[in-house]
Amino acid sequence: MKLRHQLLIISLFALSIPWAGFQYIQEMQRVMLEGNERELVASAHALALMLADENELFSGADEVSSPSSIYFHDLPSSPTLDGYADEWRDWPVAPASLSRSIEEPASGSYQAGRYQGNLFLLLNISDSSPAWSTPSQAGDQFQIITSGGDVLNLSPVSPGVVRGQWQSDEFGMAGEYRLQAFWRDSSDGYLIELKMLPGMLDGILGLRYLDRGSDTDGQLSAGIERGEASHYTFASQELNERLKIFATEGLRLGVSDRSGWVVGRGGELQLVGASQQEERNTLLARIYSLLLSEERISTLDDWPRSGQFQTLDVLSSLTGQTRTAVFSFGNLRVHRAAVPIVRGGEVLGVVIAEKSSASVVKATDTAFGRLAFWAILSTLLVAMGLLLYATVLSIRIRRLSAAAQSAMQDPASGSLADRFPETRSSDEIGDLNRAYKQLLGRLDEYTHYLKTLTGKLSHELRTPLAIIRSSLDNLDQEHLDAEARIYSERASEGTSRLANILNAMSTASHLEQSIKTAEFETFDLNELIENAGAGYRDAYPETNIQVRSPNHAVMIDGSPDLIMQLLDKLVDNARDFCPAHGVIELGLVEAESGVRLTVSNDGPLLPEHMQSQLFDSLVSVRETREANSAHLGLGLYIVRLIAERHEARVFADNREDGSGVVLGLIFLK
Amino acid sequence: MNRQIAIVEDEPVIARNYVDALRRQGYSATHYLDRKSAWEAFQQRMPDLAVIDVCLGDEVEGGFDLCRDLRARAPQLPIIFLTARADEFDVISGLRLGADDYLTKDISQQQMLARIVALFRRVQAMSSDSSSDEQITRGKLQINMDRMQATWSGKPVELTVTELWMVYALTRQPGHVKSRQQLMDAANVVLDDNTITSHIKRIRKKFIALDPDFDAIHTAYGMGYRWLVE
Repeated sequence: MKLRHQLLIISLFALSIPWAGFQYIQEMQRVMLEGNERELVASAHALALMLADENELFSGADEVSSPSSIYFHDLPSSPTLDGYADEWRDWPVAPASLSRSIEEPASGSYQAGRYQGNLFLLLNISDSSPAWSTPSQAGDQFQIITSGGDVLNLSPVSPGVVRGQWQSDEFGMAGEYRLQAFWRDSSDGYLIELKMLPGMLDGILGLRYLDRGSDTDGQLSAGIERGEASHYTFASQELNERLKIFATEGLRLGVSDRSGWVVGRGGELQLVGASQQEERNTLLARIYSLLLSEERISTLDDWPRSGQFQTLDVLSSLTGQTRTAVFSFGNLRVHRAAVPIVRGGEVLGVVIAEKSSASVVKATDTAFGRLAFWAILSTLLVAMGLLLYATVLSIRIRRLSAAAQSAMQDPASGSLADRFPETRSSDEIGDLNRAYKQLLGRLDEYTHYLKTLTGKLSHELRTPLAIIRSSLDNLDQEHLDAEARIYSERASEGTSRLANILNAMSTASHLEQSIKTAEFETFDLNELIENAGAGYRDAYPETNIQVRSPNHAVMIDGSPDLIMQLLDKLVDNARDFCPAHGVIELGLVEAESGVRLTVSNDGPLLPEHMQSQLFDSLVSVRETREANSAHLGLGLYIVRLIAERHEARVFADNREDGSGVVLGLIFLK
Repeated sequence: MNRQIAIVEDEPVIARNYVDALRRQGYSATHYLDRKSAWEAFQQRMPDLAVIDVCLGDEVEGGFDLCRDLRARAPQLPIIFLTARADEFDVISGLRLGADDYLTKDISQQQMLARIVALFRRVQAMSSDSSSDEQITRGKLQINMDRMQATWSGKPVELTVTELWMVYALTRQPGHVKSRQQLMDAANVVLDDNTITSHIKRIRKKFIALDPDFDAIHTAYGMGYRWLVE
């Protein structure tokens, strides 16, 4: 993996910044909500203590309601008694079931309301077999049960206003004028709208519907019934007023009686954030909710509508404990505190205080928005910074390795270390760079030593050789017997061979100097090649030497002597490897890239990997045919030196058909 | 009277060998180990010929200095460098300082003696001025091998012994190509090809100095050189 990619992955750690931010926001939210909760409990507690003291405001024990009591909501206005449910639909009054079991043949629901002391009821009864009363037979009936088991009977003969009649043994069928009712048949049964004065009920109310089945002979079945006749309840106006004073903004207060009925309420929840939040279904919001979402919580019950607290917290609070609970409303949360009202050791009711998390959520939402912005910005900055840094780093390292590679590969003259770039940076890469340069410097010294070794060696050996030689020459002048003379001759033979070797060794260094001082002129390379070919043919009659050159002059700038030497070396090299009847071909071609001068010969091929080193000093790649000839690997090195002096490029290749090798140089244009 | 030859050489064994060889030939040879002792002796009496090593003890180029001093005092004194240093640069420096010949130490004694004889012959010829000399005339060029002298249009060309032998070899059969090996044989030297080339170059320059239109030595690439007569 590239360094840049590695650092890019490391930059992912920068994502911990937003994560930490989210954690912080969550913590902040939690603390704020806890504070909310404490505040709620405190205010509920204060209210509960106050209500416990005020007997008039909250009597509690006087009228005992039951969970199946009928609850009359406060209505904003008086409904019109017309058998239509229009106005009820707009009011926050939840329909309550009339029946206890859904398996009954007839079922129904009711809505109860209270306006200026009057009680209103809207009954919605499903009856698959509606039947009107006739003089001979009683039809479907509706009954109101009041205190003492008194039954007020409504038995309509047709849709419209119905009169109620007391069904009692004492009075017979007495009409009740405090009751007004309108009975209308609906698509699946009846709609009955009632208005009652509380005086006629004496605080007790039960509802019953009697259905005349279609298959029976006028017998009324049990129909449906709203429980036992019991105390109906409604919110106390005084309590409402009082609670309104205590309900600060966003705080909703409620008082429950012992059965969970809402006997007082005040204030409204702040739920504005909820709907807005739902619409902002952006990526950000999603991430946010994903990050901040906690365990699932139950949704808020709508107790002002149902008139009854049915949640576990309130019910358990009725046993005398202070409870807190959290409900969800949209993506808002509503905290609720339930504190029992205890008077004389008896729990009379519960004070409920609620507050939504709208303000907290709003605060954290804003914080989140800002955090997300800055976090993303900083993450991007960190990632970009790291990427930039990695790029710079990898560029530097790549440059270093490229420099090292080119310094090692490029055989151009000059020292290795000089070609290596210098750096002043003080970091580890700078150190590496300097270490490289130092290393190459050492290598330079070493190569220089190797290059000059032969020259030095030949120089140093010359003096002892001269001693031997002059001594032998002197010895020749002495009177030696025949046998001794043989040995002296052998010795001088050996010294002359040694001298030849020394000459060959110093040739390279001599050449380097003469190459440096060579004078350039413009001359015809074509003529030179042709003459040289003729010369080689004379010199080596046993070898088949051919010349392939253009028929026109090829003028180049250079030293003809040096080029001649170069050709000598190339031809020498070719002759070393050319088989007995092989062909050596001198070639001169004017190509696109420049003038190509080649010497190719039949014979063994070059090993692939050695081609580039072929022209280095002291490298002898191929096995020569004559193992005894002195071969120091200098010939092609000299070729390279001369080529470089002419700014030409040397090359060594195998012939395409594999019959031999081509060595040569290109004079770059 | 024997000719007096001074050998300035920091290697005593070689020097003694040479001294022995020269004495055998009938010369009187004296050996000096360093420049100082040699110079002091030369102050007393000039030798007839000096064989000098370039490197003298600690003085890496002591031989060159000595040559310069000698040349200043005795312009006619034949001086031969005999050294282990075979660099082109050294050869050129030595010849430029006015040495008559530059020999490397791997030269055989016979060759060295031949050079010395040739030098003495030239000195003698210059002083005796006889007219019965072996002489070659090729156009503007005249060579007198007895006097070891060459002239171009009557003006003397300052050639060293080696150069003179080369020119002589080339001009004996004008138009014929002489290979490097042939030139080497002619000059009685063992030199590498490159040194031959530089000798030819120097010869050309010396002629061109006298006559800018000089173009008699022609390079036959790959074979050698030939002398052309206009």
